[in-house]
Amino acid sequence: MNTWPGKLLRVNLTEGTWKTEEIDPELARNYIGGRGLGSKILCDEIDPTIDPLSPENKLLFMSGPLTGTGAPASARYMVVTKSPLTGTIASSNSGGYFPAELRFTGLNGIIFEGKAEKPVSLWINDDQIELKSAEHLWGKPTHETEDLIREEIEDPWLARETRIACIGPAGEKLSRIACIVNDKHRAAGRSGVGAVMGSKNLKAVVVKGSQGIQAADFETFKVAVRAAMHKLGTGPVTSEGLPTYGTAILVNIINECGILPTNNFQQGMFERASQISGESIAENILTRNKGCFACSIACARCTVINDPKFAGQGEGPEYETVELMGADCGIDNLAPITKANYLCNELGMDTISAACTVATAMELYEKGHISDKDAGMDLSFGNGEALVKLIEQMGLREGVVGDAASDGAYRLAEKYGHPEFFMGVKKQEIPAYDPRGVQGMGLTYATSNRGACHVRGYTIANEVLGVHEKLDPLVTEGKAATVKVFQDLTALVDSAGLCLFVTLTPGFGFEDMKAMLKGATGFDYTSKEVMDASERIWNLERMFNIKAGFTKDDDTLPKRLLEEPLEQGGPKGHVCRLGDMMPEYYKLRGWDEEGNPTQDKLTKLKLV
Amino acid sequence: MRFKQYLPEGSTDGKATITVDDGATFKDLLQKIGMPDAEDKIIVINGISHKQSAQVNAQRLHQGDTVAIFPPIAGG
Repeated sequence: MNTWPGKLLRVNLTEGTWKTEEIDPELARNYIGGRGLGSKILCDEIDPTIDPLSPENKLLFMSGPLTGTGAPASARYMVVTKSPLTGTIASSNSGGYFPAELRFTGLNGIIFEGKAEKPVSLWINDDQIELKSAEHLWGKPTHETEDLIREEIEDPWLARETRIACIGPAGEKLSRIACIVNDKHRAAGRSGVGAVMGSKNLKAVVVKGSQGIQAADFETFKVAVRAAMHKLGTGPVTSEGLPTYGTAILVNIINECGILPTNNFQQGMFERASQISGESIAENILTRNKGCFACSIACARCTVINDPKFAGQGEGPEYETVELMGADCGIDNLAPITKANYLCNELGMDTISAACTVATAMELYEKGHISDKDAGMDLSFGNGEALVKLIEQMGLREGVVGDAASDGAYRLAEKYGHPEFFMGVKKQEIPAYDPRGVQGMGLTYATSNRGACHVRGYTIANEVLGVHEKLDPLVTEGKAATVKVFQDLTALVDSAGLCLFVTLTPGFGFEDMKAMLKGATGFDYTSKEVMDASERIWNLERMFNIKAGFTKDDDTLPKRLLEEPLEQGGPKGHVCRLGDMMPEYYKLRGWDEEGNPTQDKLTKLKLV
Repeated sequence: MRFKQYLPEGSTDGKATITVDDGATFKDLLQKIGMPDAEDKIIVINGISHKQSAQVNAQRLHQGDTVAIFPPIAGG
């Protein structure tokens, strides 16, 4: 029976050995689990200045105390490491079924150290643990890898219920935007965590467990979970909008608000947006929705493309993917977009970074900075075939542009002499909301500890969608406080093992999280304690980055978004006024003017 | 989307041109298309987003204005 904090598995890939360790209950209490606990262990065990692709880096798979418990949307784990894309701390989140299954084996985390001499896979079936050769799997896309692994399992029922996380060719070839795919269609997407796995010659992690998970105080847990389930089941976003239309339902409203990144963030509106919307997906390519473990929201899309030029099937595209491979590349046709999405899953690349990199390539090409010879194709905006072809090349490191683009938009733009076309922060590509028309998101992107990221402080929920309260997206007043609250709550949810979408229901917040955590862990958390833990996690990540060499100069946005106003729609004439928000943000965070946490803050959070 | 039921018959792509008196309010428009206040909605008037409120209800509409009404949605 797995109880929290329980055990983790430490695997030395260099030696080919492993051992289980008890997780320190005090660490678990103070850092919650998942993102927090994983980050704490990483910070304690690696030097922040190491090369992320060297054997000195460590790769952590961390569950939260709620993962696999049946709490709403309790499907999540975090992959924690130092990022080869950004050089910051990285924590990449994924759902599906693999994370819960890992807890069912009795393990609440795995730490991978060193580097295997030859490609290996880690197999875990309750107490049976084995590192097996994966040489026959090396080079294979993720779907084929999963299928081949299942074929190796004699018992067909065991094969069917085994869950697998693996890398594709992109991770093997150390693409800095490579991801770790689990259950074929889910991904620990951002920050190149797949490349770290590839640098260790680790191809797959294969898990099957039969142990239950025991809540420390089941009665408290049950009451808290039922209350949370009720909120999710009655909130309109989580009970209707998302299950019916998935995240891509956002395309039309974001376009209407003039913040739909178009042609590499050159514009904020796309005329044919409705063709790539969630409604269009539902009408044209959707077969059914799908959910992760224990999730009633079930927002995933199972889709199929019949157009013979782009034929395929799988899951997605999600909002980020359809927007960035669509409008941001000037493309209005779901078929090539969805095909490119499937390719990212099979080759193992983050769709956000990959799409933005293609958009960057298109702008470079159209402005004459990438030659036809290097491109090997017509890389103009709007060319769906080029999107598909370039994504495939990126995943395999083929072609001159394909190989360069495999390391993300920053390195591509630098190579071709125009870094100003890179739309990102700390070398990570900006997601699908233009911050010139939603000021709080600009602050979120600039201050997120893993580089540009929308999920780490998703203020869109209030600035545009009015989920909890409606804010004016065009003003900067009060946004520093809004961003901090969203960032802190997200850190808590990420560390607990729940999906971020639990926060998209009115009235869901710290108190709901506290109640479930108390029941699951038995820790007598107070409201102040969970809020402090959230801040502690945020500051811990910040300290890692400072030691890795980051300064306040890195808390910024591309010049285009700071100085070139949008020209259409509601936010016409606006830029992102980051400078109006940053000083207040630093102050609220308890940091000095250089963006460094003060001694007082670190002491209060018990980080020194 | 179930909101499409409030548009005139024959409307495609979730869009329609509705005629109201110049200076009519947003509330007048809602009444014209028969959409109740009880429907939770996100409103975008000329590219500016709102939740329904007394202020938005009283907002006056003019020739060529664009009004978009969305059900409660969110994503990532």
